[in-house]
Amino acid sequence: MIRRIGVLTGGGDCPGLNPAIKWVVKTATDHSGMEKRGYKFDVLGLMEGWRSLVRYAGEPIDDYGKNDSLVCRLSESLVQGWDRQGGTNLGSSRTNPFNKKHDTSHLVLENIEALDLQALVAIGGEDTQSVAARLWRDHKIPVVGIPKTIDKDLIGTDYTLGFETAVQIITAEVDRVRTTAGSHSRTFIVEVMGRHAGHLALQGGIASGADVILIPEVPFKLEKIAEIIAARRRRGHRYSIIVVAEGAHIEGEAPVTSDAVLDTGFGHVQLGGIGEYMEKRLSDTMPGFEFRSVVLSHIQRGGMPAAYDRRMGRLFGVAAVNLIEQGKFGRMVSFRDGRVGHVAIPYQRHEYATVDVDQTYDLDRYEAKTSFIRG
Amino acid sequence: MPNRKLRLGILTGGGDCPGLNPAIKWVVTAAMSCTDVDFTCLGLRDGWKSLLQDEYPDPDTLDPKHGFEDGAWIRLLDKSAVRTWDRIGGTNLGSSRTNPFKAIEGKDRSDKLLDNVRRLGLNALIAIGGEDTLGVMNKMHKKIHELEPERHRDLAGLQLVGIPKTIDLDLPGTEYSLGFETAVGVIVEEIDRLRSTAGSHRRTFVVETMGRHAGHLALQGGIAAGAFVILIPEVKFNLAKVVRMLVERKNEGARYSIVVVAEGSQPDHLEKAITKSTRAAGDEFRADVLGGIGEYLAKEVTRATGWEVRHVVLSHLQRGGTPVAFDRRMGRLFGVAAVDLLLKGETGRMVSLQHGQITHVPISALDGAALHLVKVKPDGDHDQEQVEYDVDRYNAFRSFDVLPAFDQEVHA
Repeated sequence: MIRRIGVLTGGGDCPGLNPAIKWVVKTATDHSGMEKRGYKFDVLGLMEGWRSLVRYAGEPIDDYGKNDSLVCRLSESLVQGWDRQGGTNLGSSRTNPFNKKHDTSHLVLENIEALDLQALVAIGGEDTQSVAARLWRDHKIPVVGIPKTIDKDLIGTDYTLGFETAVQIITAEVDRVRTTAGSHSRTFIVEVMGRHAGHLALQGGIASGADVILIPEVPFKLEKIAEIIAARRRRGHRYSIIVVAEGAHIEGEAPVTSDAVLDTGFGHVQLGGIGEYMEKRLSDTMPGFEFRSVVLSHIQRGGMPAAYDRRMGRLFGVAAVNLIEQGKFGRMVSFRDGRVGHVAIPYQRHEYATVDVDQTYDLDRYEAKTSFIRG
Repeated sequence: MPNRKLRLGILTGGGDCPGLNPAIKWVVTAAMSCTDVDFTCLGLRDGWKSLLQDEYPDPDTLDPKHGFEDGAWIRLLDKSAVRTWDRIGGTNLGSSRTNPFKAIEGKDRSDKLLDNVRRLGLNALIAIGGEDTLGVMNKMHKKIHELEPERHRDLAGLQLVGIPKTIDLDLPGTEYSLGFETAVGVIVEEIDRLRSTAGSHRRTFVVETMGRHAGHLALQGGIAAGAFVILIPEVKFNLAKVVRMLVERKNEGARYSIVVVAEGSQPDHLEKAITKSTRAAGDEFRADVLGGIGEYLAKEVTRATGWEVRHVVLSHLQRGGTPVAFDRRMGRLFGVAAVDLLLKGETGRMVSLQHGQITHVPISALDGAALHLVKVKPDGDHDQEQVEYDVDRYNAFRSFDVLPAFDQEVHA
């Protein structure tokens, strides 16, 4: 007996997706696993997220990379070196089959049947998982989720693929920014991603030794930042580093957004521009200080996966196949208290795992707390 | 106004690694940010060796702007002195493998150690190190409180806190020790590099990693680097089987294979692991130095197959370079937590990571406890623990034995 697994990646790309894909394929096609479970798995790559299942029109299934097919066969030897690669070799999209204005979910359901998929692994963040959750809840499609987002804001798990590599990139970039900051006595405002959560800013800021860290969870006062920067200058510091999350905003003001509209069926606003905005405002109010803003933007999703994401991608990929073997569907692989397990795929969108401000953030100094097991 | 003064000594011991400097920075930064206690932070040079000296400058005369002046064994640390240290590998306080509890020329030096603690007026000591360095701290704690409480009554209030560090990840009582993640990153980077030459020349590479008697570094490095065979000290390996696996893989069309072998790994036909004959100079803890298995294995595979097999010993590269973001953050968490323990009035504790959370354990947890080793299959004792290594494949496990549900909902 052969059972077919489809695997897809959706949403913003990041390092960690390819390792997860590799280990889904390797675990599913592994010989000893096959002997144990008594049947064989075939793995189909569904290109460009949910779009593949919307657009697929019965074309013959080819090997990966041939004829630009939307659905292709993945083999163990093909995915061999994928864990060393960033991005996703299956492509991605922000297609939402349950888009209220243009619901295409019936096509997805038809194609799942046409392709005879007995299980579907959806690797992605909030949007991708919400589609998977609805497919399970409303149509009992056997889905398993693998959490991915550099923002780490997905509920139900303490880790999402891509986060550690993104933190590492922020750290390396801030290390670079420091040399020019120091040479010119300039204060740098480094804008990082994270959407509505401050994890990336907080952990990236901590790791890179930022002097001020601004997160969406805590609206900030510009005057207070000016005070902190001025006090640092008085103490003899040549420059300061401010790490600001794209979703952070000034008290009483809305988050800064860009005019560009995302290619998305999920209806997100495009955050961005807070760094530049702060540069302007602070330059105006602090004569004698030089400010520069840097937007790390897509660099945070780029490059090869750090060792951590290669290993986590593996753990998540193996666990996803284990869930399929056990018939546990509608579940998302999860990392909790240092262990891998699973939770119900988060269905609710616009509900985020944000920074625990009480535990980790110092409201007076706009940086991470320097005490946590006192009390 | 601060209601008490606390003079804190900080030292690093054992093999250096990235993560030590971040921990030092955050110990000092957390201590000096404290408003209810007036901290004086003294950096102690070269581990426990610093506390076995005869001459010290008066701590009150030191300037934090200066380093270890004129070869002094102590220096004053403040926030600005350590400001950039989290970005730097190694340890700016220096290290040694000095063991004050080992008798040299018939003389135990632990009394001298305690006398120097008195002389420097230390109220607290934070040691960052592995089994050996923290073992000394444990012995100190015992000496003061259990063995000779009468003699050292004046030191009863001395606060001793340890921070775990070792790229080997073999310390009992903690799931993380500083340096490990950076070392894994180095292994991965180096193997990524080797792959281009391995592929070009159809050469199989044997990469020897550190780890002493634990396979964590080899296993996690090997996993992250995608090694075909990973050999760890916890499982004696069969040479013929390794050769057979490599030959089979080549017959399947692989141009090359990567074998990662931990320095402590041992073929099942040898009496013991391969060691270098000479002990490291100045090492007062260990009798022999592991190493050489990579070369041995490469030669044996060549002998059996006639292929060109190369070996690379990553050796001290694994301890080098700047700390990755993970070690910078963990150094911070451990450093801050160590100061928190001092403020809580704790002593004889080691900061630790358990179930992904920062916590602390008695430093006596290191005492005679089994090393934290790779969990190997098959082993009936680990009901709730995930097996990490698959003996059949000489590689990481491929299936979770335990995969808990983290929510309460019941799903049909």
